[in-house]
Amino acid sequence: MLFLINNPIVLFVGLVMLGFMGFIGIKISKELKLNSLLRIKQGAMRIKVPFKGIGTRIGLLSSAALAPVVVVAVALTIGTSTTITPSGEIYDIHNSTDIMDIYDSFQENMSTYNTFGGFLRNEAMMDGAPEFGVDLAATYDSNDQGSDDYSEVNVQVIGVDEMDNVITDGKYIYSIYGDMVKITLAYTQGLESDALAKYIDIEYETEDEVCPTGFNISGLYIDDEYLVVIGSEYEYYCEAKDPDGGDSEGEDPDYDIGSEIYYPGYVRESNSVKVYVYDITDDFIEIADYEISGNLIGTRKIDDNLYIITNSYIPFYLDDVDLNDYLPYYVASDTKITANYNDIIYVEGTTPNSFTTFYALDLDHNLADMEVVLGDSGYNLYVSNENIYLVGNMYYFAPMAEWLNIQEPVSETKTAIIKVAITGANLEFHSMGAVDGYALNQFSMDEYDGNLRIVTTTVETSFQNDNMISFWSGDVRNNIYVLNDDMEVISVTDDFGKPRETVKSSRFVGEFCYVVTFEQTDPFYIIDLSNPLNPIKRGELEVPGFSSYLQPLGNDFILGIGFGDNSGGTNGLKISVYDVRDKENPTLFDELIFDYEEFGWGYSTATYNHKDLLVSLSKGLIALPFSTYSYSNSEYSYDSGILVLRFDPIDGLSRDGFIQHEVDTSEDVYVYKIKFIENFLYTVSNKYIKISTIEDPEVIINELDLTE
Amino acid sequence: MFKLKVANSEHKIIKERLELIETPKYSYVVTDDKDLIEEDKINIVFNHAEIPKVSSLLDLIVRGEELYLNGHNEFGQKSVECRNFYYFIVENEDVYGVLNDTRLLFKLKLYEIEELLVSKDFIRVSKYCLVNIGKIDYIKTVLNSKLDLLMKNGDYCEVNRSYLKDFKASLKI
Repeated sequence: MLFLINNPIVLFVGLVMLGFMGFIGIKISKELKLNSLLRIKQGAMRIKVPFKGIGTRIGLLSSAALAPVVVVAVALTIGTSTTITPSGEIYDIHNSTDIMDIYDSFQENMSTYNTFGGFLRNEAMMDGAPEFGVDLAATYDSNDQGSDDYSEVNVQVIGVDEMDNVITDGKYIYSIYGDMVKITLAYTQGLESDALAKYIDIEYETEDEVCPTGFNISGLYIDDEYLVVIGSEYEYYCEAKDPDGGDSEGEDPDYDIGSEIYYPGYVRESNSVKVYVYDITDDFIEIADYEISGNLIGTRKIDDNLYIITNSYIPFYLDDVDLNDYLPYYVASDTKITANYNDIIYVEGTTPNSFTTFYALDLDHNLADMEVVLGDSGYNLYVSNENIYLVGNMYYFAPMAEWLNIQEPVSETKTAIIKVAITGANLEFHSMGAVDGYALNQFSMDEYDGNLRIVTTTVETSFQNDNMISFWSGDVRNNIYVLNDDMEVISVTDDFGKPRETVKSSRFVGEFCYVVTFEQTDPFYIIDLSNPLNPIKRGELEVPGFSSYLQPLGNDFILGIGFGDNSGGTNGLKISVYDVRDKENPTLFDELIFDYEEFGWGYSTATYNHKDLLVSLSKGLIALPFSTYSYSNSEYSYDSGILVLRFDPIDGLSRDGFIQHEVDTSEDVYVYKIKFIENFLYTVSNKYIKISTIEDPEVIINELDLTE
Repeated sequence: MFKLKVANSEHKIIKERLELIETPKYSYVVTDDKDLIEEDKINIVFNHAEIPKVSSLLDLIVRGEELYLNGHNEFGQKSVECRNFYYFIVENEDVYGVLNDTRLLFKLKLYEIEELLVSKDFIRVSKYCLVNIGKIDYIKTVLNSKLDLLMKNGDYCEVNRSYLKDFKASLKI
């Protein structure tokens, strides 16, 4: 009723429709009566009358009565339905005018429609030359090899590498340390763990007499040939000195650099990504660098090809925006290549406020390729060995929304999935699909037998009038969609999860998907996708707390990292192992709970960053960072370390140690990563690399101070 | 006009076979039992084996005497039994009787034809049109409280508002 009061036009249309239907109804009734009398009369006249035409006539009248209802119903359905599928039409772009037209058209549609804003992630970068500082262990023999038994980055897809902040190749440990990459000699076959020594620091800095710059390092890759450093440059905000000696903005400049001053708190981020490549077979000499336009969305590496996805925002709000200035580009081998308008595509429904660009860098040949899509950047990246999938938002416009004056449209989150095919170092836009809801993270997706499977949660929200305060309408759906090679939805599961529960984690393993939803309890679902046309829920388990990350432990068990405590709440770290041998009846095989201290709290980055989790089935090892603040004697104390657990398919989980770098010190030493080489555990903190053994994790046998 | 008096179990079947429409006011009693005859009515007592003959007899009773009207067209004068006319219509002050595929011009005024056919189920629907109820195929309601009569030959005749009440009354038996 409130809707009708707020929308007099809709009320008027409704009343007109009702009146029309009433009129037609009376007309039908009269006709039926008159013709009935006619038949009786003709019967009395002993005239044989075939009863023809009346059905058609009544059908026609009924259709006329219902036609406006159908038209309005269709219009409202188009305007408010969340199940309507867009055309997803792909537009070719030929010049900047095409882009401006697309943008203007989109803005016009947006003005009649409430939508969520896009997701943007900003990274930074700029120029700088690396500098080396070498401090070798005195006894190190450069021919002494490392080990083949070491922990690689915990990736989602075998063969598709993901960058990380600490990596190892069995000999060195590479870690991001501020604006530097620290290369630490960690293990050699001759010296084993005694080899631990500072090796090279790769620094990125500028001359003192100019405005300082820095390098935000996003991540590292390592393989048999290359060390790849990816980051974004930034520079401080500098201005010329006031000749009178006063401060131009009233703030105290912290630094005085000759003729200029700068404010450390103000940083200007660049809008490009820089990639440095070093030859590990030639003592880490820089062999290539690339510059790529845009802010970093994500990267992957397959063999010697590096894939980078960036987003470049186009400032359409500027009156004199020249799109030529914002066209994506890359610089490889000192040659700048800018995208042509003809190479850019636009998919209807996506927000045309930026360029999303997919780059492929061929590290062997120092070449690059790019594929440009006009559209809002995605927020989740999944890369298989054959395709890149970028998940973003797509909007749907009700054609009659303006006319109907809909003030409270059901806002919807559609997941648009851009698929870019990988052929070595060549990329090609393949297709785009759309499903309801939002995808939680990269583990929400998986490619299997040419089909993409994606888990989404759809939350229906509505907005109060005037103040736009959002509230839950209570309608939450969790589904798995299966899309074929052309990104057409070929099947979807029934909704799973209890009312109001949303997906907290998921993991596809072959023909099965394991999903955890949560609101009050943690149902763990097993979805059978062996028939991609008919995915079904096979099993379900309900336990307190919830897992925010799932990882298979072989074929029989699923490891869950998440939240739970001994009183049934979520005030602690919970590590679960689900037994999924019986797909119909999964069971909780074992669990370990680390309650937070009273009045304290804790966290493990492994609950949301899978690369901080170390799992080695062959060594029976599970390890992850865990930091807690606890309160006692009126003081908070900070304990940070690596939890080391043992896993055995028979005995289950057991706690094996908690590796800390400093205890009871005033300084907060944050231990954030663990790697193994052979049977040595290397833990990395913001201050040290320390070594212990798998047999006795808490006993430090060697250490290196990174601050020295 | 008729009252059918047979056993209840056979009433519906015999009524259909005789194509008989019963009315509350009746002059004829049709029965297969001579004990059910009514003294003040015309009684038809029939044997079940004679139903086709009885049906023909009822036709004759209902239709009454045949009435032939004389009109002419380009081929000359024609005499046509009145029930074959779909309707009579006035055009340019001439009165035509419309048949299935031709029409005849009459020297009579429309009201004169109406008087002749008053007992033959013809009804005036407008100042210019007299319609054979037996030849109406379908009655359509249209705007302005008018009716359109679709005749069995596909023609339309409009029932004027001032004749609507009489037309509706003529449909009642």
